[in-house]
Amino acid sequence: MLENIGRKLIFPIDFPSQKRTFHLQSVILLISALFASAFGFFTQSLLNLLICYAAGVLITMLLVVPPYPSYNKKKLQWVKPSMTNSSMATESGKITVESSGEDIIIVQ
Amino acid sequence: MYSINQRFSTVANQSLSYGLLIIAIIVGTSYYQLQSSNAFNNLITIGNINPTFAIRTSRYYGSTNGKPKENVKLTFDLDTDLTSLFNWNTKQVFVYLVAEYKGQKHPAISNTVTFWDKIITTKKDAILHLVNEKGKYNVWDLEDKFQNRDLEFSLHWNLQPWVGPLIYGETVGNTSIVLTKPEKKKKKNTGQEESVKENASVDE
Repeated sequence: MLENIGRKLIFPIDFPSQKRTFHLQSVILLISALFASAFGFFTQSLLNLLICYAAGVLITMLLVVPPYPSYNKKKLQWVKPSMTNSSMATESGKITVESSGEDIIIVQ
Repeated sequence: MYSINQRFSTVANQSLSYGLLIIAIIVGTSYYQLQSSNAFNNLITIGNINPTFAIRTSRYYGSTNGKPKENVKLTFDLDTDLTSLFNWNTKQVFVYLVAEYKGQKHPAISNTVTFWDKIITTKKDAILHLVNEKGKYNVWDLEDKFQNRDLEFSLHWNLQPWVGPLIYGETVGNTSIVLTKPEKKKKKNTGQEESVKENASVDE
């Protein structure tokens, strides 16, 4: 039960997006850190610096953390299995196996 | 960066790492501001130092085994401007009036005592203009008497920043004075009585 819930809360994104979000994150955080320091220095206020940097971190979180649909467009395409049920049936000759879902019906 | 957990934790970690960079920038710039505003060379004038002596026999005033100990208290005038110590990284400044003197038996040894201190929290209060300010503390020496010692007064400060290490400094313009008993005032007797009373109450 809990495992199922945990599996649904992973929210994965595709590989190119993972690379892109990581790059985005480090660039935005560095820029906001430098900008916040400069802003705080020129206004001579540590509180301004903290607010500015917190805003930067929040923006980064909003851009990077949620699994937006655009981050899932290039999902990895797995190779489909070439062996099908019908080919198995021709090899065995007499017995044909049809599978629909999890139930297996044997027809003679 | 695969799952939402990993993305959240990498952002949090990296933002904290850049927090260290911000701290370094704050410490560096505020120290540079102190240097450029010449905060380490603030001028000061200390004058009109009037000592009052009292003989104490209480052990709370430095007396050991009932042997009388001479205590000194001061009134003084002080003029200085410490506004240059206040920048964006200053939480408060602790200023203390310090006197340095040599030992009588061992002149090579330098002693330091504090007569007065103050905590300054705002830039407005950083301009000190004190007239006939009373010293806060009773001061006594290891030896019995404080009279006829050559004291060199200076004002030290300790800057406590929001971020970074404590910064210590000193103002420029020391005043030397030999502590002598004022001849007109004869407060010695009253002082003695007081101390005797205190001593009696302590013994009880």
